[in-house]
Amino acid sequence: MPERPADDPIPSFASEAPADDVESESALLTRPGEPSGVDLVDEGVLRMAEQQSGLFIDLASDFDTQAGVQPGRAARGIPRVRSRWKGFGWGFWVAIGWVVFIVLLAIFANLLPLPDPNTASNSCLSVAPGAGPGAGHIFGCDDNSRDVLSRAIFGTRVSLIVGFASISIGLLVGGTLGLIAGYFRGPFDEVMNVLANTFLSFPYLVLALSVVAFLGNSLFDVTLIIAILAWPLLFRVVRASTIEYGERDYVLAARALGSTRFRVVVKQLLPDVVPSAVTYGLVGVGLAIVYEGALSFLGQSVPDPTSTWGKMIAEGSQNLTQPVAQLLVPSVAMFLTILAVNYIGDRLRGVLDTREGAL
Amino acid sequence: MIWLRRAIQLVVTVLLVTLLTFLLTSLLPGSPVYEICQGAGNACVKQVTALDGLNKPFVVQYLLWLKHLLTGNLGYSYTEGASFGAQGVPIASLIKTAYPITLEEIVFSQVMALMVAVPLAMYAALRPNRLFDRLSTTVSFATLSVPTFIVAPLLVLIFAVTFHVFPGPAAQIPSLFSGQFLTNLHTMFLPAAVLAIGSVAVYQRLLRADMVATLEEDFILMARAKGLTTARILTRHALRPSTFTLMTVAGIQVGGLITGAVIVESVFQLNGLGLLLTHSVAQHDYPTIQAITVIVAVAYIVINLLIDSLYLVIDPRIRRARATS
Repeated sequence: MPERPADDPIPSFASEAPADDVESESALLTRPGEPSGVDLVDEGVLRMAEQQSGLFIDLASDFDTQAGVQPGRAARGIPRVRSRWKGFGWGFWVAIGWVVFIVLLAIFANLLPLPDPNTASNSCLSVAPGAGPGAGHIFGCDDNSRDVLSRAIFGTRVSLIVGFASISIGLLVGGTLGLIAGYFRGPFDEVMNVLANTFLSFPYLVLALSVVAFLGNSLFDVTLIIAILAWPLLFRVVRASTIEYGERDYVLAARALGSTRFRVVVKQLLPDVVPSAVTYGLVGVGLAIVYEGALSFLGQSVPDPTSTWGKMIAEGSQNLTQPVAQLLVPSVAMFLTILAVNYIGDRLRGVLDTREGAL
Repeated sequence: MIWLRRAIQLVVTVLLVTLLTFLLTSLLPGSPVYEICQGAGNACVKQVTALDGLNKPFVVQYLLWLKHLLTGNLGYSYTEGASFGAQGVPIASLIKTAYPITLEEIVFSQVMALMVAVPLAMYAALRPNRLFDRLSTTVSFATLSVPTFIVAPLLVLIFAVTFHVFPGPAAQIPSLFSGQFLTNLHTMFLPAAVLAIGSVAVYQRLLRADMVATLEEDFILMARAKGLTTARILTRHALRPSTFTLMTVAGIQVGGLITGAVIVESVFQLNGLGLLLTHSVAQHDYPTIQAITVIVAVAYIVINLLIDSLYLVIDPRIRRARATS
């Protein structure tokens, strides 16, 4: 069994449970070298029986089966297993709240009573450019007489779209390749490994900047570029956990019972690999937002007039002697978003993923 | 054997890095020739085609580019000093003037980061899970969520604009060896500090974790029993065996530092590699972009290899294990 985080409620159950010997037995069963065909089936049946009776809890397997109380335990006088969701702490829910909040802002930005983010507003034109907070403009106006709050809210869109879309593409591509490479190994695995390492040999921003220069900087291009940065990392994470789970008994059992390799990958391995892939993906979303911000800051992300946080920070830092709202508003928004995403990823990993430092 | 395998891996990775960088050109819509000439006419198209060997097959172009790269001929800038009929400045000379600034910035920032992180980590490791330890863990977690492009303007705002402690962006930097050593450090302090902040958080966390483990070992107990002072135990006994994770991560960090340097140089207008890259991207100076990308990536690979070999120097146990096997 993999090592479990200390704050996990389940280990205490597993060690006190009457089913204790089953667990150690299965641990023993994994050790012997080449079991005969008959043994294979026996192991598999045993293992499946364990899983179905709820005696065997695989920490990193499907999230839902772990979250609820397993049937049959209470009847044997074993303490009830707490819901996993309670172990996250209030900080986790605050972080979730912030992310939900800005996602809603991004979606409904058009419906809010805000001045247009991309054109100069009349009430801003009547004061000096870059004026601080004033009537009708909570955070003031920027150097081009546009409303800072409005630009910050509309800027959320680019960050979130690029952040989530690029990581989704990266997960899809890197994850699929990682699953295949991790389960089938062989020359494909070696080639993919070398390729992933090659991509990781470029410092991120340098690669991003040079690809932007050659490819272009539309919203789609930028998303694609960040997906290119992200896939090798996600490939590695998924590959590492596929290798780990691929050696487990139930995979062997599934094969012995006649599952095709494809079926094993989809039905046995995929559900095991998803939790860790998603938690690393969340950390990836934080990084993707940072790199989009960096490209924006250098003027190489989505073209004008679309507002992005990075662009606003760059504009705000041009002249630091004026009121600094146009620097601080996007900075704080970005900081809170990255912090929230990182924190959610960190907490989820602490609870879901048993392999710390798989990178 | 291990070294042979390493060497082969290194060569393959470096070759692939050059190939990938070269492949960037193929992302351009149409031939790069038209991009260069921008409607300057057929004469320009012919000249550039012949000059850059763009009429040759792809593989030949790549090998030619690689050969030039290996002989230190990085080509000529499309924009810097270039005009119709005249070649631009050699890229090699652009890079030669730019890289010392980036290098100094990174080295300075790492010295700074270690000077802050090591004592903090030691203090936290002495009293794990107490107030200071928890506080520093929280602070580093938060610090890691602040991107460089937020830290840099904020530090400028506080230390250069509001309090005038350090020179702000676009300050002249005398060369490190021109006798104005202190002026140089004073000007470089703020840029280096921006880079150092992220590193401090990483190093502090790692070193603290390793140190807590080391302090539980028998030889520390032994040192205590002999009556050594805590300071001596920490610096002479516990520090060295606790630095392995730190070193590996320091190598990986270099990539992040280069990324940071691009931002910092853009904020402070330092004429390093990062600013050169940003300018080249803005001006579509493709050969310069390719040259910088390849050089930076290869440097990153080599630095990580060097750090790997540093293990042998630092840990005699690994040295002996390798010698006997």
